[in-house]
Amino acid sequence: MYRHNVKNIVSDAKPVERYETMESKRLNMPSPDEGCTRCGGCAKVCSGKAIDVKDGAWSVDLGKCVFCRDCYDACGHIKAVPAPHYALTREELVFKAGDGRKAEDVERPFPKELSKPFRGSVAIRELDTGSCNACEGEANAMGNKYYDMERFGIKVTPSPRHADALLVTGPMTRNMLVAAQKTYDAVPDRKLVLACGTCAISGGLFVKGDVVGEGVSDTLPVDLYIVGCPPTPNGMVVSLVKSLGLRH
Amino acid sequence: MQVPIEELGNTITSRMGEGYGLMCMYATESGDMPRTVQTLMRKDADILHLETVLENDSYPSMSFTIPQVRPYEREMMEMSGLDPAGLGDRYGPQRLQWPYKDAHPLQKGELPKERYNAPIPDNRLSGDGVFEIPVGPVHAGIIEPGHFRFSVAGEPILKVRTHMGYVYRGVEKLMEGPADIDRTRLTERISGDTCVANSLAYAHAMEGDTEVPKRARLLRTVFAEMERIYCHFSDIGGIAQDTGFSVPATYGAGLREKVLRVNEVVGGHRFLMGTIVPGGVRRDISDSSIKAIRNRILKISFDIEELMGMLVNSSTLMDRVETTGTLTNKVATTYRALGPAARASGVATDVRKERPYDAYGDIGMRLITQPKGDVYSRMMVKADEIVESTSIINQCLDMLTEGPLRVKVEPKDGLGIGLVEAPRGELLHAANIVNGNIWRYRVRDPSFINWLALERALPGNIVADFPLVNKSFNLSYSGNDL
Repeated sequence: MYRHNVKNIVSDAKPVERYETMESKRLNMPSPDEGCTRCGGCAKVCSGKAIDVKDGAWSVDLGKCVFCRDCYDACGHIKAVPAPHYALTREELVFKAGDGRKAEDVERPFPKELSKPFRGSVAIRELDTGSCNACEGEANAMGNKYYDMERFGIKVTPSPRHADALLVTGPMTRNMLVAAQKTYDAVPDRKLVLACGTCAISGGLFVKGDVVGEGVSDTLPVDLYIVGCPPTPNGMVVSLVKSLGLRH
Repeated sequence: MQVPIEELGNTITSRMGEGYGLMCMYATESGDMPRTVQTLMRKDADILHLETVLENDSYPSMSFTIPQVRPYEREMMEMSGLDPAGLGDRYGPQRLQWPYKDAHPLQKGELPKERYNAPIPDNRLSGDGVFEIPVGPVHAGIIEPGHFRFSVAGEPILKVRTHMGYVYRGVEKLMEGPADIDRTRLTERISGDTCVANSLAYAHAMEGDTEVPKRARLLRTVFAEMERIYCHFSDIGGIAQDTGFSVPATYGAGLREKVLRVNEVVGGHRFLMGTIVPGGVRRDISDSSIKAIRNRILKISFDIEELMGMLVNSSTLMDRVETTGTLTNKVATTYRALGPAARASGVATDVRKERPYDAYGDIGMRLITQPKGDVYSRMMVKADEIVESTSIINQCLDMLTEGPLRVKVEPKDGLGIGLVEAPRGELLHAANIVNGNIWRYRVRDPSFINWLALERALPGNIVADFPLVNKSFNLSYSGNDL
């Protein structure tokens, strides 16, 4: 019985996704078309206060967007365009209407001297600082047979002392602050901090709750911002592979 | 029903004798409404609402006569600033590890900046060879933060205390404000993997008696069951993972992923966030989505058989899961454990059956129970529930007819109750609406109760079995902490 089952799984069609497919599957972000009158209707329904309409200028902050699609429903002049998987700086996550920036332009690799120690493989330690466990669910899915992060050399370690990078999810609650700082200190130097998801980037919907600062970057030095609420597993894997230049 | 505070304990006890279970207790702030303690009890479909007006914040604690009251009294003490005399701080902080001086988090108006640290107490257990193992809040796997104190003598656990609160973000406070603003985005993020159940409970609390269109009710049921399926797959895979049996673990994770991909096609989000709104559902599903769901759930019935075959036919796995982490029927009843954890201990409790909401009243479903209460029973309950969920989805899709998807909802003043069966058990949202404002919003996740059940199930097991037992309960940290 057991042998039969194992054989069945092995003979299953290869589910592993190619890297190119993973990279092309992106979340959508809103962008106004030519008919947009800058009335501010989309900004009014935005739960995360991500859309900003001021003096005829329209911008969306992907660090605050929760990808709820309320703005598409509110106005016919908002269309969906592909969003980047990640960005290296917080400013790059703000997309202005008409600046012509595409998702691919934002996804730059790290400077060579920063990514050199991690070329070939990177060991990550997941640190939950108050997330809603959707990010954890997706981080768990990175290891399943569809995304299979280990083929790129990405590995999850049980201890921060064996880690190269901290994958931080959640808005940094007051209760978690001390533990997060201790975990950060326990990671050996030349470490990366990856802010994963809207909560970690900007505090998200919980920014007025019992949290410290606006996002993780107020307490830990963040190197990489992974976009999404929650980010998709392929988004997380692609962020690491593309920014660090891992072999694929 | 108005009950004075002196009578409250007796009323709860006598109602429990009549078969009512304590669903929730919480306190409201004074202001637009008087300072009260709200008690909600349920016997099948009948919900009993007891309101107790408080003259001052102090009253004699009821925890020592009624054990079910303890978590709620601790919560009222910490979050609402009540003083149940006699309870004291013997259990340590429940959520608030950094309390305010002379202030409590749910009070109206500005909170002071100054905070102090409330330490986590040691277990009150000592003796020759008794050691205490602190674990957490940062764990080895990809899971949420929580702190555990194990008192052990050699390998077996003598006592365990769970210390939560690391994920406390102040959701209940954020929910307050004008009632007509749609807060579904926030409720979905109370606990990410039960986002459909949470948004559904919020929707029910806001809807009151409003009649939701039939198509919307059926679609809601489909979404709720899809969520249950992937949650349970993830649990069964996790149980295999924690026993070190990696082939079924990978297989379980793969099955979960397949359901998530169907979710993405159907609702546009892998966890089905943004599908439910008060008054109906947000968008329709297409015929191709229906076909995708039907295809998937047809295969699931075969897949689950294959997965369970792998697990049950392995003697090493069965050796780990049988008689491990037993939650006896007596304990489950005393503490009113909820959801699959209670059903695995022979307690037949399920909101879908007892107080049908949405389309559950129109369909046939089987209530699954197991007698023993160990990890194996919980695993089997979850496996059978997956099959049951596929049947529910099929029935709903069969009944699907064209029609409106959404009606306008105007929240009425008074108490709004949303009661749904989340994958983890009975989930309660209660909203006290005064003058069109949400004055107090209470979320009671099933994990809030089941963490205490886990504390009772662990003694006698070895420390190495803790992850396994924990996974079989699969409790939410963020739903508990809010």
